[in-house]
Amino acid sequence: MLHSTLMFLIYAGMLYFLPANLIYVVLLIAGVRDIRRGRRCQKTELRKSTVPPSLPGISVLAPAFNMEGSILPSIAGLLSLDYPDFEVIVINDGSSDRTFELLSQTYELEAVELPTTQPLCRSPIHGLYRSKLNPRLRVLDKVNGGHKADALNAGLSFAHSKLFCAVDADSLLERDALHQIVRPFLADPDTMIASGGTIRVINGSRFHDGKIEKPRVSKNPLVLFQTVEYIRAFYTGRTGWNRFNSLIVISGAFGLFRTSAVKGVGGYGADAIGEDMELVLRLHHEFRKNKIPYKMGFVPEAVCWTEVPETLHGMYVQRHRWQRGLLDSLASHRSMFLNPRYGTLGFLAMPYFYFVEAFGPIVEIFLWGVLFIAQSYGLLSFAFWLAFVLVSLSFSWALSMCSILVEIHYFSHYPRIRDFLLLTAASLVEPFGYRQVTAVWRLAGTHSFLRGENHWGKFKRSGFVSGVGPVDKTAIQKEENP
Amino acid sequence: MALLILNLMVSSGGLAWGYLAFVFFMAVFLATFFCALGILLLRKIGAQSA
Repeated sequence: MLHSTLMFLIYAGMLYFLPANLIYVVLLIAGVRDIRRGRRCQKTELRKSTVPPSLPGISVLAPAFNMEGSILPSIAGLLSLDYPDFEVIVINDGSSDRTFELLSQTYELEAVELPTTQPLCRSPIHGLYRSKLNPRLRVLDKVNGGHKADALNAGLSFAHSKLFCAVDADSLLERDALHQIVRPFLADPDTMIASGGTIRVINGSRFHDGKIEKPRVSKNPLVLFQTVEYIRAFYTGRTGWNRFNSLIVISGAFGLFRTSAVKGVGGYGADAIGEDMELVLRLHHEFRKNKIPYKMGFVPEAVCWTEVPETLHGMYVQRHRWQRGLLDSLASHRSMFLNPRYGTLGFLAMPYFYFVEAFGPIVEIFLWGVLFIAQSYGLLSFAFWLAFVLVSLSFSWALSMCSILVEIHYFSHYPRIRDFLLLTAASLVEPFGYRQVTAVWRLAGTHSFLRGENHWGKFKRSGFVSGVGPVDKTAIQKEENP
Repeated sequence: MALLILNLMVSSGGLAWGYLAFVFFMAVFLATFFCALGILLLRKIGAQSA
């Protein structure tokens, strides 16, 4: 009886992983095709265009909470972006450290009158400031609302441009990032409502004055594993889903949206834990429900560098939040699940995110547990066990290496052979423990979500202080008045 | 796909299918590894000769 039950569970688990692994392969192929299509379109645009296209204005929204270690180089990086028409709105979300003080001193902030219109955020706003040194910079000082969504809604209320770009204030955008991420809006000016870019891991890289000088891979094993994860997620996940017009995640660290579209759906979900995914799902939901034609795009060439946690506790906090955010967003928009009105989104993307992303960790831990019990009771032959482990490992290694090849062939952010070898080593070691630990954290996140915990959760960042000197005011003035 | 092959292997009562799948995925892994390494080496040589 025990034997048949365990074997049934093992086969049920295998039947679960079969379509899941098949989807990874399909997404990888679709992702490569999407990258190639993007490259072809870019070349055609360059050949056709005799005059530069008129670029829409962009308001860059950068929420900042207790970021005294990284705020100055980050804002310097944002202000030095290569784009003709943009403004930066920093939202100081009730920081208890020197974040606002540093901004105020460095950029000589002066208070301006708050508009009388009702802001989209819930928590009170202390004041709106503008820089005397840089007319592109405005700083909004508000009471912490408990969620990043509230800070973004506050910034969105004061965004004047046609498009707005949500970024993390502790991330660095590449200089041409806005030029790249706006491309889908130039190709489809009437229907495009959102586009996303690639997130890269900054830990280990050399940067100066908010610009990446030498991209490097970190030697910290935890960071290395995350770097491989990010490469896999963006080159097999986002690009693949974009190919199927079913992109449901645009990272909160770097995404471009049509301001009127987001204001039209009420802004970011005030209580959303995963505000980025929830917003994208809500846009899909509302636009399809009301039969309004729209598109969303993904530009892998648009790059944002972000800091990832370097400690186990930091990672636990982050993954815990991601899992709760995922479940919260999926639960809020469950009516799209297998609903023919939502096309491939309802029939492919939503089931994938439910069964693979949300419940995958539970099934994975359960299956490994069952295999362990079956092996302990002598119900499984060693040959079966060995074959299972070898096939799972080799599939995982092949998938990771294919993603790394895509990165090197098409993007080459890590051009050094040493970095490539480190990434390869990380992809080989990753399945031994790291993946199981992250699955357990996600399981803990699921448990917390079911218990109703909805705090945001924040891990401590090291800050971009290394390799960066204090921001020089004259340099800022020179940048603005060359 | 890996598990389908594994399933076939178990039902056929032998390890042949499992080993075949393992060899296939390892071949993909090694091919992509050397391809990526080759690209990086060629770029390095190109940069040095330029």
